[in-house]
Amino acid sequence: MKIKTPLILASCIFATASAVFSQDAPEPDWQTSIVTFDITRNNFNFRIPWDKRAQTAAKLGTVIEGNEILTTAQGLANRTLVRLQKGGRGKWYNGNVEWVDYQANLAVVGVSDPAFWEGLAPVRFALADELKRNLQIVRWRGGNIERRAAEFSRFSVADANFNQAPRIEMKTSSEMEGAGRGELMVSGGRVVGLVASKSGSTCSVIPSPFIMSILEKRASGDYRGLGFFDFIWQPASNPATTKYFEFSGQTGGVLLIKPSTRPGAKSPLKLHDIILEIDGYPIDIQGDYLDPDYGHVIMEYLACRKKWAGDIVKFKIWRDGEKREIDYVLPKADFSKNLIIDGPVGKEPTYVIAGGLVFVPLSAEFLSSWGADWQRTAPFRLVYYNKQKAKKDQPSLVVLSLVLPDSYNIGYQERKSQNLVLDRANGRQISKLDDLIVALENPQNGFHVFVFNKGSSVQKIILEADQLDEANQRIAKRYGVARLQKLK
Amino acid sequence: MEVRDDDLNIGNLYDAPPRYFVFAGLVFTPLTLDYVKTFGRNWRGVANSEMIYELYYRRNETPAKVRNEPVVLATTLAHPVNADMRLASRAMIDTINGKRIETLEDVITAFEENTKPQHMIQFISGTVECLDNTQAKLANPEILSTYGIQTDRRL
Repeated sequence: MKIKTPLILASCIFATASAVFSQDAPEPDWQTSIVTFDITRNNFNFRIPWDKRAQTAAKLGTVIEGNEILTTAQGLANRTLVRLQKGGRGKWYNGNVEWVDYQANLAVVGVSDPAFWEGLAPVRFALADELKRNLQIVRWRGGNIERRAAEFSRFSVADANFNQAPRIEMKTSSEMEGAGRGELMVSGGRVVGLVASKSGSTCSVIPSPFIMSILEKRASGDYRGLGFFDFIWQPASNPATTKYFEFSGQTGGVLLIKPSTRPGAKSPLKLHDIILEIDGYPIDIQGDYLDPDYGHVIMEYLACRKKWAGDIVKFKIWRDGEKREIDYVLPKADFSKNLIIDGPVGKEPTYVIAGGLVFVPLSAEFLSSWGADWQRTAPFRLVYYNKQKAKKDQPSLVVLSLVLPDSYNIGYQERKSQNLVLDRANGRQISKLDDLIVALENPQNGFHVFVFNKGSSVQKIILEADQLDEANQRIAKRYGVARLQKLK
Repeated sequence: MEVRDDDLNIGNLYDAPPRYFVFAGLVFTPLTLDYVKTFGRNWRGVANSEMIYELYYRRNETPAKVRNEPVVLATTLAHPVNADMRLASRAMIDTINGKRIETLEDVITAFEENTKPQHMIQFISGTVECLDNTQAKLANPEILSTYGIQTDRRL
């Protein structure tokens, strides 16, 4: 029977976490707790946004209380079919993603067929003091359970490669090949975490206390997502700098150099405040604090340590020569309002094709189409917008991604006409595709005039308005484009 | 054909030794194409994005904010006076002691005219670092001697 009642589920999680367990106890039969996923998803090419291809991915999950499967969120975006298999072989069952948080990198999947749950048993999660010893990675491989030893290295906060909530990660080393697809990291009979990725021999594991805190919050029905600190700081290790800011008689703390990275946000923090304590944890001059569970980790994690978006975090700061206390409301780790739009994950690409000119929003997904190292390989000018503030009248940007060559646009089909940010179309300021649609309804003296940002390799593209419809039909047919625009 | 003064720094400079100013072990130099080419053949991948933007894009996009001669902290000559500074070499300078740095000469003026106990250097990235004024003055001759630098400036 599937338990849906949040309160019952919450109490189950509490019971699991607090259950007395000896590491000498007989090890559970992991065969009954690990399942295999087969996921089919649409893989979009944001540079050719009408093009989508089916992709399949295999990963692993684990049975948790309440007849649910826990796995990582990776690979679940744009899913079309999720199937699960128990026992490492045999029948596949259709699954349904009941909850997913890409920032937390966790998802919960349900299976409606009661037969799936027969013989399966939920796992027990390890507590914070049980994370470092006798580690093993367990998974299904070739129909058999494979186990490999792992060695604890350290706890760290995941690199904020782009917009990312500050997740805690446990770094371990293991020789298991191809790990990083939601395998279980176990110790004795308990689950220490899920293996989220592996680089070289180093595995990044989502630790069980973090998982439990999220499952518990979800079960309570009050999960508001992860928060993050939206300010930028630097270490305050230079005594001359602390003297300059009249910070005397204290040790530790970091210097604030940007009060908020969110466009238009008001922050209770001010430039050159020195942050001394967060929620009672003293911050050292490197910006670390001593976490009771994880040791010294960077202070960013205090945004996620039993805190959620919208919660108040207590700051002790040094400002204008005196100590002050302020309440900081944690913003949600949602970056969809940034100048370079990031998220929501799993959204299909939007675009407008006009006379062979392909316009797309400037988004993290679009830039990611240059590959994992896109911050170096994508066009410099587009990446640099990540360091710039949005203008009031242009909170987001639209890019001419490419030109599909046709007699209508001949002369503009060259490479220099690609990846240009559109400033105005027919005299109208453009910040989203909807603006472009309106602009195209109002040509100027019989022409469509596209003006690109200052400094672009092409400043202006002018096309005859009365030939646009005919050109659109011809281009759609020639390039096999089913829809000339997709706005949602 | 004569090159406009404004464009000098974005092209190759011939027969022109690099300009620099050394203060308390901090080596300041103008941002030029010649300078970024010292990073190697893959200089575009090595130079930080602020440098590339300042060198090639700023003048077209926001000409009102263009600096005549953007200045870079090229390197730091290690000495106890600067040992506590967490300096990223190849960082672009925004202000020194509150003075916006438009040219290398501004760096000299900003340090020489400051009477406060500390010098405050603000980088384009927003990072701030300070130096003790008295100790910096005292350390300068020793640093020049230690590193075999004949003169603290070439303008």
